[in-house]
Amino acid sequence: MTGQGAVPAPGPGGLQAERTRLAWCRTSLSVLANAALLAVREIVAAGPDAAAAPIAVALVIAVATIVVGRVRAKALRRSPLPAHLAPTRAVPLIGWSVAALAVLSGGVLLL
Amino acid sequence: MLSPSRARSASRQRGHVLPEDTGEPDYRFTLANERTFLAWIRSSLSLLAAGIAVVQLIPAFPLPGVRTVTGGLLVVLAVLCAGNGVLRWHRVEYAMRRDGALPPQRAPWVLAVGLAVLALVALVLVVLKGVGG
Repeated sequence: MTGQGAVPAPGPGGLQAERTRLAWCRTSLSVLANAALLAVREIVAAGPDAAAAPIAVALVIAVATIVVGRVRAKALRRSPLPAHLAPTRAVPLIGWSVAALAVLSGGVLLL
Repeated sequence: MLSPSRARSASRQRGHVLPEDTGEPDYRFTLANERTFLAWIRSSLSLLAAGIAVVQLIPAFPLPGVRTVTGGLLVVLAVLCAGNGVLRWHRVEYAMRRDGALPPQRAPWVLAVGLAVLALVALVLVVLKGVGG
C-alpha cells in the first residue's frame, strides 16, 4: 500500500483541528435533535408536564457543547498549540451530562 | 476494561512497569482520542433518539409491552455508550501518557449484542405485521 507511486503523505496536521471542530459541531447537532424529538410529545400534549425537564436538560447540554466546541476550536487555532491539549474537564462534563440526559429521558418516558 | 491501577499491576507481573507519566503525547493522538469520545457520545445520542422515537412517535406495536422493552433497551444502551465514552477516554489518555498499550474493551460486544437483540425484535414485529395484515 505504501509503495512508490502511492498517494502522497498527508500534510503534517491532517486537518486535525478542523476534524475535531466538526466533531464537536456534529455532537451539538445530535443533542439538539434529541431536544427536538423530546419536544414533539410536549407540543402534542400542549401543557407543561414532566417531559419538560429532559427538554430543558437537552437544551442546556446543547448550549454547553456549542460553547466547549468553540473554546476548543479557538485553542486549536493557536500556534504553537497549548502545552496541555487534552480536554480534561470538558470530556467528563459533556459525557456524564449526556448519560444523565439518557437516564432522565428514559425515566420520564417509560415510568 | 482494565482500570489504571490493575493495568499497572498486570504489566508489573509481566516483568516491566509502565513508566510514569511521560508528558503530553503527540497532539494528533490527543485529538483522535477526543474525537473518539465524541463519536461514543453521538452513538449514545442516536440510541437515545431511537428510544424516544420508539416510545412516543411510532404507532403501538401489536404485542403489549414491546414498546416499553424496546425503548428501555435503547435508553440503557445509550447510557452505556455515554459512560463508556468517558471511561474509555480516561483509560486511553492514561495509556498514551505512559507510552503503554491501549487497554482492551468489551463495550463494542455489549453494544453489538444489544443491537442484535433489537434487530431480532424488529424482525418478529415485521413478520407479525406481515402475517396479521
